[in-house]
Amino acid sequence: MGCRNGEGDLLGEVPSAASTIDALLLATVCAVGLPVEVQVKDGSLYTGLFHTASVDDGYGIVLKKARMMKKGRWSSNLGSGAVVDTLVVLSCDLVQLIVKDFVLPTEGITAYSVGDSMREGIDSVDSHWIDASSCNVTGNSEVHELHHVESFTTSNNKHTDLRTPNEIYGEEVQEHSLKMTSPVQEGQVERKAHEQENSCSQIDDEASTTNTVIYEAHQFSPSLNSVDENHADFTSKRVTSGERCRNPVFSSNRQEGFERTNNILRDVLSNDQISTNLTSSSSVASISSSTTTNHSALPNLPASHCSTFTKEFKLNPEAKVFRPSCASARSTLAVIPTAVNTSYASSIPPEVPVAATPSSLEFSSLSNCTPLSAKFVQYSPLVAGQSGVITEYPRPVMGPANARQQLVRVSRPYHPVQSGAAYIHQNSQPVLVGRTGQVVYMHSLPQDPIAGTTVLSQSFPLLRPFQANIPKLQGTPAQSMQFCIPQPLISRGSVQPFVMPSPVQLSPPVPPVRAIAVPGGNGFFGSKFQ
Amino acid sequence: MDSGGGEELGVGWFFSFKTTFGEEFEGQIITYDRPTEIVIIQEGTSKPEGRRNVRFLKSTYIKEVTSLRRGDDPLDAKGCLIDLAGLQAREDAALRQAEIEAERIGIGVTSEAQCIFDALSKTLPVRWDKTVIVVMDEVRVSSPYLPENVNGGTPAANERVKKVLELERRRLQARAP
Repeated sequence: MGCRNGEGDLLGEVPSAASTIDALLLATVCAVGLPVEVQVKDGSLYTGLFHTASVDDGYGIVLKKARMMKKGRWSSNLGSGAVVDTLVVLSCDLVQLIVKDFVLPTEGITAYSVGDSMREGIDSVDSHWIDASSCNVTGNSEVHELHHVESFTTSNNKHTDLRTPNEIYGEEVQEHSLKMTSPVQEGQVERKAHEQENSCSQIDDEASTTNTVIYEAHQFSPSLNSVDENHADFTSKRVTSGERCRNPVFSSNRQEGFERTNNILRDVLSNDQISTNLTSSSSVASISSSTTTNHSALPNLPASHCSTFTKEFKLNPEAKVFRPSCASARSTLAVIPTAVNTSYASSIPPEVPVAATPSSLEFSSLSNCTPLSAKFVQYSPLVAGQSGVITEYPRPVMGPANARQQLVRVSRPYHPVQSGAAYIHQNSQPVLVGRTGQVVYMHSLPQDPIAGTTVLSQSFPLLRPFQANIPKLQGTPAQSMQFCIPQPLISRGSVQPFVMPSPVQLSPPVPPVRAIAVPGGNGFFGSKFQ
Repeated sequence: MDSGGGEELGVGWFFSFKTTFGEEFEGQIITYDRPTEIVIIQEGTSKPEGRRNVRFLKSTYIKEVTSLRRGDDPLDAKGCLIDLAGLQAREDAALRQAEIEAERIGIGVTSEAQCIFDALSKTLPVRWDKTVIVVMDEVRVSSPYLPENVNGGTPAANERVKKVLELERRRLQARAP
């Protein structure tokens, strides 16, 4: 640790990086959940709950429930007094973080309970730190991969010198997206399919909530209403123009740092929400950019970007609980060429092809699906394979328990996960809608990034689940009646003979009921049960 | 202080700092992380139960540093044990509390409206519906939040809210001067 007595430490004695990092991490972890004040380089002051930090290539932090206390020299899109759900302050903008009434671990050790869980947590922190160190070692390869991706996009467009200031600013925004790209590519091989699915669901989550915002302070652009819109617009420009990030190495490392710290603190704290917000800022913007109108170049989106969308949330394993608007996210990812990246396609098998399928095809598929195939899909998780791709059926457990979910699966055997997830999210969606979203504090770019309205793209995720489910539910009314309606009729007929003997007075009304219910059921449904 | 000058801040030493923003304070350096250029400073003013303000200050924003004295080791991390579950619980509780407090703050309302809201909340369940104060989920008090602006609800509830609003307004006016 970086603790030492003061003998001769004033000058010259440089603590080792590991020890100081440990001390910094220790203090950082102990500050989690505490109200803090953050000063950024324009002088503005923010307060919020300290959530996580990145210690890689600078010290970036993430605040929850942040609001501005003091306005700085530059204008920003975060109004004074407005509460932002998640505020990301990059290391380049951070001046200081003040933790009020902080108790150092040594002093406040009594405040923590001593137990096995504690030691497990410490071990986990250590192990994560080891992983982080290994990431440092392999950082060059990640950078090369990133360069490869970037060069791919650059080769398509040669008008880099003709960039407008907005595009340049968009580059800056895209830089954050790229920061997520490198860790994604890093773990591409070793990542599990369900993790990718989780990341995809997390993207859906963010897309549905449409609350992810890149917070930026601008010297010349006080007119921003939604930074997210700007971000989306810039990112879209970035995608269409294919311009390179000016500093991909730095950006990738920085994002990696965020993600790494998320790894550390997230797994420790198992707070997936935050990491989602942290890493999803650019991805959601990218998704919204794809949904932003009039970008014909989107089909040329490299598969690496697509993989970024789905993999950058690997740290949120619990995000699948929400899995809200998979349909919307997939619709935005419909341009993804599934065959380009085999590992990616195999990891997310049922979703990508479905996303590319128009809604009309989904409707028509209802008639094509036989009840037999539907039942087969329900009880066989391995049936989901499609187009020769080896797929993992991610959620075989979720379906049979829910009757409505079964209906969805019946209607569309090849993407039961999508439908089920979309349906499940409707229940959890109100919770997510209320979130203000993530904000990344950025500034000092002298350009007014007024963007096109991406409100519609943000609102789509909220609507897509309903659009996807309603036709499916409507398409299977007969099947639902087969499963649900006959049961009360049969049970009523079977229960009555046992109940009848005791109350004599009830006998007169019972026969009419029996006469009405049983013949009707036999006439309409009896053929299928006999 | 220029961090790029090769100097290292001494861990455990008490310094007087002056930032580039003109802020001055004294504190003990807990650690200095060169890669991130973050100095963790524990301010000297001790509070009950050892609580102090701790700053994570980027060294590049330190303008002046004056060495005061040498102190003991501020952080003995060897024996540190962290209850991660407790940290998570603390954060969750803080988030819930922050959400509750955020819901109590009206957006786009005047300070007077917020004072009325706070006053009503002492006796009645209230919430904001944009700029409208909703009392007991049925009575709505719209701007300018006068008794005649009370609408909805049962007659009894409406009268009740009017009466409370009138009294609270009278009380607020009494405080103002």
